[in-house]
Amino acid sequence: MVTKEEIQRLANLIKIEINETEKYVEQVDKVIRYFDTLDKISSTEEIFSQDLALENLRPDEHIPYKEKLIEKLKNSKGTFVKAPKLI
Amino acid sequence: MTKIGLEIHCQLTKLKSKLFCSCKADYRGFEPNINICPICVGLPGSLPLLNKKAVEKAAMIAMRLGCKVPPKIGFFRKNYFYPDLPKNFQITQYNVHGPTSIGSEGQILIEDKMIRISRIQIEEDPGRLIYEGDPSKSLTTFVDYNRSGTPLVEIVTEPDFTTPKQVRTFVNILSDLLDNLGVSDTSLEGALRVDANVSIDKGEKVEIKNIGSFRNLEKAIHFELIRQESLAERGMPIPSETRQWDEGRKITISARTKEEEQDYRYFPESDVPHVLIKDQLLEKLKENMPESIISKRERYVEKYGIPNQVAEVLSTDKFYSDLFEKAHNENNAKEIANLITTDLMGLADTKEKRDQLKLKPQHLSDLADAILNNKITRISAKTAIHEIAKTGKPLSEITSELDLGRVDDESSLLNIIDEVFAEEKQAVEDAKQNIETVNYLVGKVMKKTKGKANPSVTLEIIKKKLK
Amino acid sequence: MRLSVSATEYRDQIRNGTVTVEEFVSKTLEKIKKVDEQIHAFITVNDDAINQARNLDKKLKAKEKVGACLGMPISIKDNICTKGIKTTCASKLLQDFVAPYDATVISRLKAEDAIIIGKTNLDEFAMGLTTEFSCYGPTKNPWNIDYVPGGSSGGSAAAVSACESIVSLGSDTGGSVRNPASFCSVFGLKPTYGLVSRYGLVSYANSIEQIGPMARTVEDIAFLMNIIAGQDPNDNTTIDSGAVDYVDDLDVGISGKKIGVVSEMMGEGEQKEVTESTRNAISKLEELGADCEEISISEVLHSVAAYYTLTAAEASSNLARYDNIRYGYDFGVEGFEFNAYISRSRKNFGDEVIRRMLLGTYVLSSGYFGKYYMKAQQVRSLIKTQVERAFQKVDLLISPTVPSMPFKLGEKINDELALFRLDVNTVTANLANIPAISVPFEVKNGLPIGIQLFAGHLQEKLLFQAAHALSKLTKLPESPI
Ligand SMILES: [Zn+2]
Repeated sequence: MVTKEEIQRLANLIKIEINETEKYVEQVDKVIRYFDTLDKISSTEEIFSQDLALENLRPDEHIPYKEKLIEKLKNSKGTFVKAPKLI
Repeated sequence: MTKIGLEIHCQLTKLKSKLFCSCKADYRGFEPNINICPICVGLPGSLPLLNKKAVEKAAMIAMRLGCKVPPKIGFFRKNYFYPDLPKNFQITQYNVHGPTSIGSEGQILIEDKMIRISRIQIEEDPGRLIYEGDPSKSLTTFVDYNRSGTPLVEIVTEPDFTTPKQVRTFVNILSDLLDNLGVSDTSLEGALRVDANVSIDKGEKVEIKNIGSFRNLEKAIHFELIRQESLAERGMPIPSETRQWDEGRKITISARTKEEEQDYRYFPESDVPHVLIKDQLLEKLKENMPESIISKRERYVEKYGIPNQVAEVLSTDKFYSDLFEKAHNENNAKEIANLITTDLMGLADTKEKRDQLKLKPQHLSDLADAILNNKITRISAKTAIHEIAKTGKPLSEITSELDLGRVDDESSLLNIIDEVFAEEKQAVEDAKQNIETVNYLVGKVMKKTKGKANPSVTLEIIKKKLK
Repeated sequence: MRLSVSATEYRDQIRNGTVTVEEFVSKTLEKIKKVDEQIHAFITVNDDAINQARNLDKKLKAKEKVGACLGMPISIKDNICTKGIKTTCASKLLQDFVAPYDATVISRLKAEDAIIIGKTNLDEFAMGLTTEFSCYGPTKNPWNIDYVPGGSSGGSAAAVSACESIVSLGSDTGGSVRNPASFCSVFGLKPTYGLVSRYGLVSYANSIEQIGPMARTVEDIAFLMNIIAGQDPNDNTTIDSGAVDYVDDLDVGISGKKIGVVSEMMGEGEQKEVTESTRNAISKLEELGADCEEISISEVLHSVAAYYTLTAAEASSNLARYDNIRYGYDFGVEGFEFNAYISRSRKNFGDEVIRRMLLGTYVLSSGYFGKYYMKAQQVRSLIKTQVERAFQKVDLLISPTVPSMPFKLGEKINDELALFRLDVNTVTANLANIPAISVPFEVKNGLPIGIQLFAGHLQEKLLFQAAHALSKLTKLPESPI
């Protein structure tokens, strides 16, 4: 059973303020119980991955971005981005 | 037993572009947020484009540190929120589900101790935070993303060090090695950053972060060991924690005020496909790797008969060995080694001096040839190097400007020697009694010629006159 | 002038001079104005469309070179970046976001002189299959506005169905193109993973999703794929598919082709009408000379759990960047500590998005990673293997696109598991990286039913030929709106 504390821990990890913890407890628990069917699978199947040869990676070239991107972002104090401090 | 392990972050400053985009890898000297693009500020819809050279350079580091390089490497996301992290996850490598980082299980001999390298991984650097005003009063910080996405290689050692001194030796050797490989200029501010984890017998592992310079590294570890030992003596527990090095007070302080749980939720970054590194490619890379410091030193000693100590100095510093390699030939190698390690040393011992140095390899080979052909004395050569370093003028010009050409002809030397004999009557008598003291007279002649006199001709003339 | 023309017909008319780009575009805009208040397919309509149309008419008149789209109005799901036009993902977090660049698919369409008529509604960040989870309110089904249009590309499907654009681009993570295509009686393709660039597609589950075209004919789907498919240096996951012309030989038929009827996607738990329709489609295909047989892909039973585990995990990480610091909506940082600020900002995600991020964080967190995430990856690999094995025996697979007919708005919005079950036929194509198309097949009681065809990796051409053959047998009414 997913607990209230667990939901709060998850919400802290992804930084979302949630008020109605109970609502999420019930909903998340229901889905997790559904996911539990996965746990019954015993498979040694190798995990699939996409491959790319080293030769085909991006060559190391400096190409400056064609416009002043900072002007399209929330900027302040000239060309800075303002952020709240982590305390 | 004291156990110290290191996590070293090295920026690949020799690359032209960032790890996942085409912005400049060397972010230094830009106005804030100018060296950015949608990828390195994590705009919605942007996708990482892995830099081929970054993988190659990291593979070179791995090979040089004796690591295994797997045939296939993969990237993971490390998820955490931080003001300088634009995507709020870092693309890095992770070996918990099998070795997919660029290197693992390496080792390197430091003096007579083998230090094991547990893994080497490629990752991106976050942006930089700039604080203004009184930090205790202001809640805001300013972010500069110019550094965001700079290619980093993280080198993680096993806890094989037992003293702070070993750590310093290792870091010195490692930074020489990285410079020599041509992957990084470790003298740049922030190019090489070291975190240490320290534990003693009776305690948990303590991580020390934020150690600015290498000099502080030794101090920080030393402080931490004393702190832990004094806790242990008083029977107090040493909890596992992260501590920051406080540069001002020269102590480590606990970093987390609030007990915040870390759970990075690593999982594969599928926007970057697994990279296949074929054996042949790795072999080719290995062949083209710059010669190692050890191999250089041995070659200098064996091929050119350069004394071991001189060869040591020359090979460990890439700046010197590059100069040497470009300047020398079979005949003048030994002389050039001498010039670099004795006369040039004081002129190029800091980054600033190196940046301003006007001396080119051609100067060194001209100078060495002039010495070998008796056109200039060693003493004059020293004067010439100083002048070249400042002006960059060709040797011939400097020789005539400063009148450094060697005085070889007997008649002009004879005149000067006559003067010296007249001024130094007692010394002449002494020398007649005891030929060993003749060097005093030779020295006087040198002084009068400002070091230009041919010493062997001078000696011969004096000896003749004494008879 | 008819708005219900296909792309091919539109291009003929423009070339013949029967109609000008401006006429067609302004008529389209009128239609949007008229019907969109009811069906709400669009989030943003492009103010500049008429200007662009006029410019193209000038070029055409001057016999200058004009790209293959000839000013065709096309709508774009609002999670695909368009330079200068807002890309909101139907989320409050991006309500003011204007991308400074075009997605690769958009640059390619613009290079062929398509006109972006507007950005279409979706479930927030494409998470949903009814288009009810949009911060701008739901889109309604043009066939009956009491019903959902499917999702998450519900706006795109409705726009094509109601002739508010000739074609549209959606994105398909677990059926998000095919499900609304089926509910709105249009064609919708989920291409092979890596065939279409995702550069500029706002990521929800990046290892699984693809941009896909939606249209009123198979030929139009093929026409769009000719433009948008192909390797892209801006997306390392795109693959080299060679030079394929998807429009050529569309009419070769399917005589002699083997079609597998996926047992796990037939009958059980399925609405009766849907099963009947599918049986009907199968027998029609047999009449055309195809050879149909039952085939089992047993892991389909685990596919939805695996799909939701993986997509939730990826979503929890992909959406972490929306902290409202570099871009986002107007909400100052003053007076806030970092964690407090972003937690407050991120509170503006909708319920469904928050739920999936919580789930995704759960399955990735230490202690649960092996139990859920790794297992889901293994199921994905198993499905891939089973699907590859199936394609050794047959050329195509068939199933209903959705096991249910369109349902009413609000009917299933609070029943997560009921919604999950609607994905069971579509997620397999996403997990196995193969192409699948939804073909509008019947309209029963005024509501559409779509049939899904799958082909092997990069076998889009074969898939279109089969879809074309099947669609020729049906004569469907136009949507009533
Ligand atoms: Zn960049």
